[in-house]
Amino acid sequence: MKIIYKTPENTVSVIGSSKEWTGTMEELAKKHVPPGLKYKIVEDSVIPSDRSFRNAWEVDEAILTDGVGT
Amino acid sequence: MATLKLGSTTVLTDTTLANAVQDNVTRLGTVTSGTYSASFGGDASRRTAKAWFQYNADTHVFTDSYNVSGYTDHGTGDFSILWDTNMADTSYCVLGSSEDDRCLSLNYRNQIYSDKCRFRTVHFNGNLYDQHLNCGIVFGDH
Repeated sequence: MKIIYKTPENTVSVIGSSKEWTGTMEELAKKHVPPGLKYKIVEDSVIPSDRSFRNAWEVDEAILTDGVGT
Repeated sequence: MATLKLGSTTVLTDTTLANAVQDNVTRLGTVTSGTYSASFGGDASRRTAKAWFQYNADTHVFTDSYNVSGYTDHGTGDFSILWDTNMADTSYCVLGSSEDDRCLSLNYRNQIYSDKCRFRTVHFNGNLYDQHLNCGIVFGDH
């Protein structure tokens, strides 16, 4: 699972866990998504594997419905 | 529990051995059974790494890490390493390296946070690049 959020600069950031993280993705989102930014927890397969145009990735803010960074 | 016996007399247990070893340095606590997990205080704490990682910024996989909860991929050659236990403040030290003659540096615009540190990795041609091998170690106060 991954956490995605849209930055104030309209870029997309993706949070992933380390092997040592024992909490949930919800807990990881609450800990590390910047305050005020909406996020969505998605399957790994949602994240493109081709990073050729990584900085051009976009996300519709309307789908970021799982929470807001605190 | 592991024991060493001479005849029927137990002369050494794993706990007495563990405590004896500690007595030759500075005892941090008393072992009763099982694994002893130490936490350091005072100067020892300040001399101990609070986190470290080996991270592939292309596949976003940690080879191994300590006190790292995860990463944030911000874009090409631009990522944060997220601390599991936050640092006490932002006045801590991070040392990092990347592969070959490429560079892992602190992101100058975003610098250091108590819960994470943001990095940039630069190819020798000067462009941001997703380096495969990135290592870092953190010293400071929890």
